[in-house]
Amino acid sequence: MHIPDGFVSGPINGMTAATSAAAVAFSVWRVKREVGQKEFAVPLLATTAAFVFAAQMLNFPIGGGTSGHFLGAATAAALLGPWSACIILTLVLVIQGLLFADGGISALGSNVLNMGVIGGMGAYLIMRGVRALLPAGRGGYLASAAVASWASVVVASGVCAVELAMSGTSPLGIALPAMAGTHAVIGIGEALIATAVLTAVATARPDIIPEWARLHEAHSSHGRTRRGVWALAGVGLALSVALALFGSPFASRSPDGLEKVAEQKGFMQAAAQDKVVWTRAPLPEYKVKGVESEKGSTSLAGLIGTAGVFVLGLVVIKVVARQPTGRVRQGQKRK
Amino acid sequence: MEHDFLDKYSSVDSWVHRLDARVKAIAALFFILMVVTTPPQHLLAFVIYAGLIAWTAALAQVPLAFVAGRALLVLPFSALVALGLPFLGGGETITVLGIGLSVKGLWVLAGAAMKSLLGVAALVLLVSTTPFSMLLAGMRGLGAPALFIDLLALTYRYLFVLFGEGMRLRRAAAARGYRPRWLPQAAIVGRLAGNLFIRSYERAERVYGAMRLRGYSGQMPTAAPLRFRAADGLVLAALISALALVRVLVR
Repeated sequence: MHIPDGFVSGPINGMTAATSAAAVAFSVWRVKREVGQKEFAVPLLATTAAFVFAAQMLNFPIGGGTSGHFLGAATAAALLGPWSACIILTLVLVIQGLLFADGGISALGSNVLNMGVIGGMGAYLIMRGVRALLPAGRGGYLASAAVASWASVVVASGVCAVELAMSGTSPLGIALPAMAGTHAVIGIGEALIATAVLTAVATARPDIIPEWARLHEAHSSHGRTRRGVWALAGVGLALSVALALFGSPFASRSPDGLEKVAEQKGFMQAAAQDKVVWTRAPLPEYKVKGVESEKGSTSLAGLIGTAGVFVLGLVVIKVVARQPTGRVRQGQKRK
Repeated sequence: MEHDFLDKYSSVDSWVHRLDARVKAIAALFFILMVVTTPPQHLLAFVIYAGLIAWTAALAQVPLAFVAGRALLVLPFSALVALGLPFLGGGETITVLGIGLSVKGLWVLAGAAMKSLLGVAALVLLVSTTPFSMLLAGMRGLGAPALFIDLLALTYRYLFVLFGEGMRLRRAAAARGYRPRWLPQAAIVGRLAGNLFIRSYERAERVYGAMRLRGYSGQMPTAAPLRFRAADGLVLAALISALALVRVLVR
């Protein structure tokens, strides 16, 4: 998902760089304020960034001879919170860009936005939202982290595709299925690894996960917190629906150069007739059949997609998190 | 993982290596900016950019094959997002081997490929001619926040340590017969990664203790002196004006 130089246009680079810089600056401010012994954050963030690197080296098989690797944003968010995760991923991306030639320097803003801000902070938001719907306790915590890992990888790759499309590098019709499709599979491995990492840490050193401590607080004052978190889930869902409604027509209304040319030269009809594959998709071209307005149709398709993912998430959670809340095991702290 | 892999040639002594780190950082950034904004149709400009890379590599005694080899690593990404373009893009088409290809799609693909290759080549040259600590000192000299530079320096330091730990975990698993073949077996990798995180956290605790013992109070001392000489100014001015001229005049 690392975008090299030359794939993202100047205006998109500027916009994403400004957003990312603001997000990272805010994260630094929050981490400085939040952590009691703020100086410990310096070696902790650095070694965790190095950990994300090293963990990326542990490839896992996807099947068919290919392998994926761990991205780490959601895991970092689950372990150390959204602000630390954003800084850690930024460190990883800067070093990857400079030393490993992985991700271009001019595209750093976009890469930080996709993997640090959306991958890290977004994962945390999803995690909090999903956890509100689950029974409190270890099972709910792990299941929410798994869902957030998968979703953050897929959403980040989708945003990456949108950036490429808005830059005119690759039409959304090619980039989005290619990126989101690949990452929907990679995301499964990501979710498995995140769950395993969190299980291991929660068993051996539960004291180092601030979220874990908060979890036990939540468990003791059940009713009150549940309501608060329900509200958060509602806000989260409302936000995604709003994004789907208002964001998706915006994304497709700024057409890339290719679609524009194709439309002008009348190739769009030819493409529509020839590309049989696309017409078989449930929501071809992100539009719903029978809805006249183009903008409304795209919004509706986005809404259906969001709702579908949400329901799918709920089903997965119900299946995964069958563990009763009473059996939260207090991990032994080892020194 | 060997330290060599990352900045193999950064300790060579050459005229380019002796330049101020700030000059090299600005030059690489300006080069990438010019490359990225050049329209793909200006082929001669791209030839000149590539020539500049080759010339600098020769001056710095960095083998061109090394730079090219590292640069080629970006191609898989291009393939994933852009290889379909010549087939799906509209506009005029040309026929190659009986397949109609969109001219505009081909240009977009060629542009993205050339720009990403040149961008990576410039960065590989930058880190191959500047030790990472000097590069960080240079970035700090250019106004990057001190805290962020400290974090980058520590991350770089512990990268090798944790890579080593990761390798040992993987070797231990392999020695016990772990041969993953399908996705559910990724859970074992996750357990290894969990173990690795705990090790990295406990290392951070020890590092923090050591830092406190040595008087750390939020500021890392820097030992890398930056010297901006007349030659640095000359090289920077010459490079920037040459690049700007190529960008504006050559098409």
